Amino acid sequence: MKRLLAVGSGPIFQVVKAFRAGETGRKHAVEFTIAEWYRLGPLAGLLTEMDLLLGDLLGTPPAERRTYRELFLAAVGVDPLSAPEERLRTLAEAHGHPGRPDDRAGALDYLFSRLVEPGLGTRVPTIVTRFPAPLAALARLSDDDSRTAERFEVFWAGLELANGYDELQDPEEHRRRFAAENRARERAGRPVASTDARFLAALEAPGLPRCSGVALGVDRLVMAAVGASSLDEVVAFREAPDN
Amino acid sequence: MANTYATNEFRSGLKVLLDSDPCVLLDCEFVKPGKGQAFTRIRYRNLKTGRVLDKTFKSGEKVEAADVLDTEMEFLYSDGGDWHFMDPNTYEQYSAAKSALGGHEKWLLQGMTCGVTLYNDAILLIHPPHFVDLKVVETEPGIRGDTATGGSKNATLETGAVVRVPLFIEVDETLRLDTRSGEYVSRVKN
Repeated sequence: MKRLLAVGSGPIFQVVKAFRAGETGRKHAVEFTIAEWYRLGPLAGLLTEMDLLLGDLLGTPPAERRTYRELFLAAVGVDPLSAPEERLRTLAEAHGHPGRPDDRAGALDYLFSRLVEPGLGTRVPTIVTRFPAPLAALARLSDDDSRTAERFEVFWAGLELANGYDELQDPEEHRRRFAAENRARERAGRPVASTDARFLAALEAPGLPRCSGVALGVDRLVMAAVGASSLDEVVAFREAPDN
Repeated sequence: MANTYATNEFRSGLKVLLDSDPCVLLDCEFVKPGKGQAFTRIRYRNLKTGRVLDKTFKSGEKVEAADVLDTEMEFLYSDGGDWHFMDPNTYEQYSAAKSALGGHEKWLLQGMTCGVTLYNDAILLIHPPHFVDLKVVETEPGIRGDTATGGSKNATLETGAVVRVPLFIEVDETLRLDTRSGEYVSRVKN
């Protein structure tokens, strides 16, 4: 889709199947459906659109917007942006992480899921903004603070419903992040992702326009709409647990 | 080699060894906090201590299966130190230490069928029937016409258990008792 955006598609969407090997649980499936869309411009427009869409589909009240840092500080008691990596890794282990996480990103992800997430999206949907830079994925870093990235996630009814970025445009930075991601995968003994040469070429020329994109989990959206507690209740055929 | 279960085979009811104790999984949930490591979070009961605990595994980790089997056996007798049971299918006899009975020994009557949890082919836990019928061997004389006050008194049963019963209960009557609460339920017609 980003290659289409690079050649001038303008705003686009698709509803499509996504696959994650080995992920099976009440809120995870190997095969699931996402609605993915992009609009031109920075994140603010997409956040507003997201909020309106949830209101239309689920009848939710207007979402609250909270930065990752304020939520993390309130629930964990340490600053996710400035706390030393060792402190975060030790804290994660103390909260039940099996052994110490490999890196800062692993420690932050674990602590957030254990201590912050359970309190999100209970009264109104919560849009978590400004993720720490190590969790930037493919989001651009914030203009006013290079310690945070313009990534957001939406939480409602005990579910993470959507994940979106103010899309990274710089081809060099893309290469660095893909390389770092693959180093982390290698360390963890997971298969390394191959380089998407055509995507990287499109980023060079004509280049990705300033745009923001998001993926919304459609099956989870249905769970939230009908008050289901497991994907089993909303998906017709679940895959057998993989062997 | 010991049988193992990987996290993707976890489901409630599975019997596994955790910290070298036999445990039963009560609940498990797949968790993927970010792009990296995925986890499986479980709630489990330690079958030895009865305690319910939580634990997080990295997805793909393996744990050893516990050789735990739930079955039924007939209670034979107690020699004071051990309680002896028999598998009604194989006629094989098993003995249980007092710790396996968890205070339930007072409900056991010869010939009674009990739930038994076996671990490594030895008795780990005894589960008496939820309801047992036992005869009263000793209690103060019954007082008629005093049911309105809902008074109660002690009665000693044929197994030695002492329970609170209504005032109208007499010696030699058979009572139904709830072994989970230890309470009198009703009289049973002989």
